[in-house]
Amino acid sequence: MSVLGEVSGIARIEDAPLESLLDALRAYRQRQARFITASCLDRGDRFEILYLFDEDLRTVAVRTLLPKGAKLPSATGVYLCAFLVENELQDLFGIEVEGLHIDYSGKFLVTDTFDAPPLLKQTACELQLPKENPS
Amino acid sequence: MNLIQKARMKSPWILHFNAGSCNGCDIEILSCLTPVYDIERFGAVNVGNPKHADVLLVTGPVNRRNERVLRNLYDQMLDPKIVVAVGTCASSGGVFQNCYNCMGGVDKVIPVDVYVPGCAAKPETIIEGLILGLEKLAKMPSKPKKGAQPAEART
Amino acid sequence: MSEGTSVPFGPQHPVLPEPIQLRISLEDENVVQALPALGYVHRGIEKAGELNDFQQNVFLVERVCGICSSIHALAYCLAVEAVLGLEAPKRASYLRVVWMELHRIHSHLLYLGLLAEAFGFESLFMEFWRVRERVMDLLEMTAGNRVIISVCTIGGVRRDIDAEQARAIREELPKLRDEARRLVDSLLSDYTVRQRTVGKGTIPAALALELGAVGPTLRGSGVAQDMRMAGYAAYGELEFRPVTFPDGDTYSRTAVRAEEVFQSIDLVLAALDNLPEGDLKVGFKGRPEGAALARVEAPRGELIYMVVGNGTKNLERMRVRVPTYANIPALLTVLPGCEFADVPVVTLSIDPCISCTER
Ligand code: SF4
Repeated sequence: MSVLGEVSGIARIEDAPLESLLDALRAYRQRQARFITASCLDRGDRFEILYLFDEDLRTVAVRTLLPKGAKLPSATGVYLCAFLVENELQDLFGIEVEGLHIDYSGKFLVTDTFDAPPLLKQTACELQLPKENPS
Repeated sequence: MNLIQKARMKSPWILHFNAGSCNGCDIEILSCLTPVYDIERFGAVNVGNPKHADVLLVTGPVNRRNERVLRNLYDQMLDPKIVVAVGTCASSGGVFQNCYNCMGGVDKVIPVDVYVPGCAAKPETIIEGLILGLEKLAKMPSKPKKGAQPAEART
Repeated sequence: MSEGTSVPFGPQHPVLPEPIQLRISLEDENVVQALPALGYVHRGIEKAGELNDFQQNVFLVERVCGICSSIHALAYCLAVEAVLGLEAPKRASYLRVVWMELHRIHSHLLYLGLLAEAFGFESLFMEFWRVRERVMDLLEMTAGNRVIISVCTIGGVRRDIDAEQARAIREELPKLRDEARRLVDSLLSDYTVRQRTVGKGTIPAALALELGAVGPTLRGSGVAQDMRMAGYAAYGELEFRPVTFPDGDTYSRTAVRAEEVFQSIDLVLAALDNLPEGDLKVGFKGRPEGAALARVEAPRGELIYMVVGNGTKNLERMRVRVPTYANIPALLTVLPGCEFADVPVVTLSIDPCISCTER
């Protein structure tokens, strides 16, 4: 499975294995980089997660690869503002985040009527075609 | 047209509900209230309480968490009442066809009396839709006939 | 805490045009904790962005948020253009600036009006919205629609502004500037307004940076950061200095937006003056392969689109990070300590846009 190569608009992508992810994030915190967000890609048997930071209008990123089924350590201890995006990862990708500061346990954005996390590639979201419209 | 019906037509109170819209139509509804379009010349007032309202203006394709709230608001409104679906996405789901969390239109949840097209619907169109709705409202009996279902569904 | 009260604020609240719920815990009249309950506007646009054709997506992303719609389209187009290796023609870049800044003016006037309404200053709300109609007319004249203007497309813009329209804009904007100046002065110098905003919901600069705040919320804390400084579209060629105010309170944030209205007027006029001749768009072949990230400044702050293409007509992933998303942590941190009656005004002061946040 491939990972993202060069991304135009991101100055640098630093790879951090899962175990040392929080250390890598802490280093950014020390350099006073502003946390932007995290972004997740479904890569088949694992997730590719990018943590994006702003350094003087340049975007830099930390990447970690998370095998499906594994737990993701929460970044909220380092950057409190990550709680929104981590709740979103729980909702939309079904990733379990460990040590989340404010945990909505998967009911942050979506209701519990979904049987599968909607942003996973294998989840086909049924299309609402116009012919269903009674009028 | 009896006196009560006549009076009702001249003072429609509006409840606006955003059922997951993109805000485009919501700000146009707000524009209707402001001096240039001034919907108050028809006696329309925006209220926050469903029990006060005669007209429910709904925007947005109705998302799954909102569905319950919308049904609840509709049930709380007293008869006679009309529902105006403002915007293409409230009418049919519009651009949000492929979105998993949308019901695809207000009429999937509650009966709709007037569909206002446009993405975003222009204030003129919204006012037109409201007036059409009021004409319908005027024809409704003040009291439902014995045995009749209140607020019969749109055909 | 055991004797505290819990109050839900929203989802239907008169000051909030949109459904969001804040669960607020109170100790007497003071807020001790605020937690958002989202999901009332979540539609699933990121998934739809993978199911749609990448060209259709332009219209979809405009409807992420109706208030800053064309700026979403611009960010998406910039990202896709970067993947495809395109560069929009000069004229298109300048026209983009014109429309983006007109959009910013309308969005900021809308905010100022809503804020006045949150104080109970109804007549000022009406006045701001009356002035705003001038911009809406300009948008309708140039783009054919009032709110969702659909001018950006991959590779350029879909419409031109001809000499006649440019003249109309040049005539209208100075009038708008005069009227807005009068209103802004009466808003910002009013004794009651100052009492309600000065020192309310103060976010110090260090905290704002730490919590990742963006846009007027960050600039209202004295940090001069604005993505327009990075010079996308034609901003690099126009004179531009970010507006900042030092205090970090509701008043500063409002003042930033008020000043930006005038700055945007200047930018529109400057862009029209320097409008180069040339094509409106470049054609392209092929399908996006590769990834790109685009950051632009929306009225509420920095807006980020990341697209990942896999060589087919559908994108592998479309990621949207909107400004309100970044400002919510700051809001939640300053609400505790406020009085309950100030919650609507402080909440409004980050200019929350929920349909953006939830997509
Ligand atoms: S009809 Fe269009 S503008 Fe109106 S709420 Fe729906 S998407 Fe937004």
